[in-house]
Amino acid sequence: MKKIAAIILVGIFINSINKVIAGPVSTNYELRNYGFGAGGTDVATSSGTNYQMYGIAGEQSATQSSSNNYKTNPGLIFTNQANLPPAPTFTNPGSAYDRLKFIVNNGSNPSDAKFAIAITDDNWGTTNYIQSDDTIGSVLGSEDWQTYAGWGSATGEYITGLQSDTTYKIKVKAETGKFTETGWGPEASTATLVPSLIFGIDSHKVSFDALISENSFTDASKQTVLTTSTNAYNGYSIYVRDTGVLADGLGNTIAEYTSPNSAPTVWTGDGFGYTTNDSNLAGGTADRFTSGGPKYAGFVTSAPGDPVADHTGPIVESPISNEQFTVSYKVKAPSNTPAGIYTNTVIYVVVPVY
Amino acid sequence: MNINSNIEYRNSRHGTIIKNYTLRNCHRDPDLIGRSDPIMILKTMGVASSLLLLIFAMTLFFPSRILAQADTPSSLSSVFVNQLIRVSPVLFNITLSPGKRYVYKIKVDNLQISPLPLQARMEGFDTDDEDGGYKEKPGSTSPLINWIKIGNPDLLIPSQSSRNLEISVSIPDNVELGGYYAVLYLTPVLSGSNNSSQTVLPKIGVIFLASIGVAQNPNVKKGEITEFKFGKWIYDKAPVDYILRVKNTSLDHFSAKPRLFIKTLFKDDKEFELPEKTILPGKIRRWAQASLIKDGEIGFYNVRLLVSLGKGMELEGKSSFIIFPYRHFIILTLSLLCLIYTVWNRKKVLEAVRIIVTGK
Repeated sequence: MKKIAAIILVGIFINSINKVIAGPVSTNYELRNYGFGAGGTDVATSSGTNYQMYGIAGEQSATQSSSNNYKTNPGLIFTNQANLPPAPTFTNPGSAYDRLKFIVNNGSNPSDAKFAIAITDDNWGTTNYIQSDDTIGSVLGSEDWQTYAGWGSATGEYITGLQSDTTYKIKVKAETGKFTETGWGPEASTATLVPSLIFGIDSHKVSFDALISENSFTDASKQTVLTTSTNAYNGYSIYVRDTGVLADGLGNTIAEYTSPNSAPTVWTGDGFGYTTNDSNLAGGTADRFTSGGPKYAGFVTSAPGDPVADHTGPIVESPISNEQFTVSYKVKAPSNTPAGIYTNTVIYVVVPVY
Repeated sequence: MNINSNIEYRNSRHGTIIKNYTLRNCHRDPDLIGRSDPIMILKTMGVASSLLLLIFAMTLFFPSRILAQADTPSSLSSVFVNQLIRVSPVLFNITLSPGKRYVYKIKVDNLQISPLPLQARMEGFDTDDEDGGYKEKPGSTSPLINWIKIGNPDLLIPSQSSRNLEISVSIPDNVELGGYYAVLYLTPVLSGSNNSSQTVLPKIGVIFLASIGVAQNPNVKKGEITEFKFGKWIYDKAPVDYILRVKNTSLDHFSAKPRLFIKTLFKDDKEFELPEKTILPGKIRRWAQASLIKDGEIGFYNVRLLVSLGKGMELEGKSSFIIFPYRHFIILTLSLLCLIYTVWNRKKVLEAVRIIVTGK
């Protein structure tokens, strides 16, 4: 009797276990058919939707399933791979025309993981690769796989040698050793701009005071303000020259000040000259006009002239915007200068630095 | 009855004299004669002070504000900027082929409130120095000028609008390979000059860097490092300065991007990217920095230089320097030697000191 009861109880127990372990189950869901590695078979539900469950238990598998927005990578092969890098950060902070900034997203990979970066300007019709020197090449060499630190870490680096006014896309893949290379991660895109320059002066006429004995035939109060904006990588330079000495049209002139632009001096004697408030000027000692100054130089007539203001690069994180420099004039005529109206033309030439 | 303002208001309770009040339709109170009200004084003073403060604030704020604008035109908002022109692109770095024709557009924006007549003219240019300065070359010696045609060299741009300048470049079938360079000047045309003043004229230059049909032989270097060294072989302390010169030995221009890899024992390697510069054929560009390493520690530094010329081509150079406080070391060593000598020969030293002090 006892044996029969025990058998019945065991049978009931087994039956209940079978029911319990028919499949993983929650309040509302039950996995009716599942397997490891390649996964279970489709099981249709009463609603007509099919489901599969994938898992890994050490079996080799390279089968992927995907939908429009998702892809699963089951099996040992995919498990051994590095983490797929998310989309990198890809920007143009300096409004540049020939370079763009990227920051690789590590994707929780170990520090010795290496990354390769692909780039395109025609939506992957052509694929190039960012080289180890941050230029673009058609071949992905072993040296072009770099660690996160090698690609600039969280600071990032700039791809150079790009075309202006072009949209680029990049994507990243990773590896942590042999047979661990991932596929390409999601892409990021941004565009280069066009190199541009804005230039202005505050007035195209300068009228000196009447040069008379009361002011010692001198006027040093007039100036021209130069305003420049540009995204040129190496900045810009402004040169000045004049069309000739101040002349009255009757053969009488006021000479140029004698000191050259490369070695301006504190004013002495007579002449027509200029000074600038740019304390970091190319063409000689950077602060030659301002140190111990103001110091003056005379105009030249040969094109394009002498440097009076500049902002050399590299211009990277932000373009130059409304930068102003002031060129001040001084004229001191000899006391025996014949009376008259003396004029000339001063020309400012601004060019981007290449 | 009106009382003049000079009457004295006398308050019998407070006894303080307050002057300069005009009282209308009042009657004299015999009890108030000879006395004045401190409260009224305070009130009067308070009102007067407030008035004075208000007047002072007005004089401080308004006139000085106007003066500042007139005297210190240092910001864009306070300077009337004339002749404001925007040009884009302002730099062309183009690859051309013999026998072909190319068309480019340059957009010119007139940012002024008045129309802008503009002239466009081509000139040749060459580099002037190692810092990228340039000088104009006579037009006849720059073939690129003859190949470039400006569709509309004289423009009239309405106020606050833009126009496109059409540039066509036609390359002859037979042309020497290499680099060709020119600059397009955009010059405003001013109205009739005023004979009583000096004329100031702005010009914007658009740079053309053209390369025609130069084959890239990966076995032939396009450039060479003519100089790479640090200011000294041993530094007492940071900063460390260097100079680098790269020469373009090819037929066309290229952009050089140097990187310095600094290695030292027991420290992480450091990489420095130097500014990228364009080098014209046959020319040299210079990089120099007075403070490459600002906080270097004692040690021997090995420096590897890589200059990227594009498309995987690199130039390599090496140098090294030491950071060691040798001045302090020398002083310390000499001091130590003196101390050791003194201790070793203390009897003689003491005797010498005694003789010096006593004179015997």
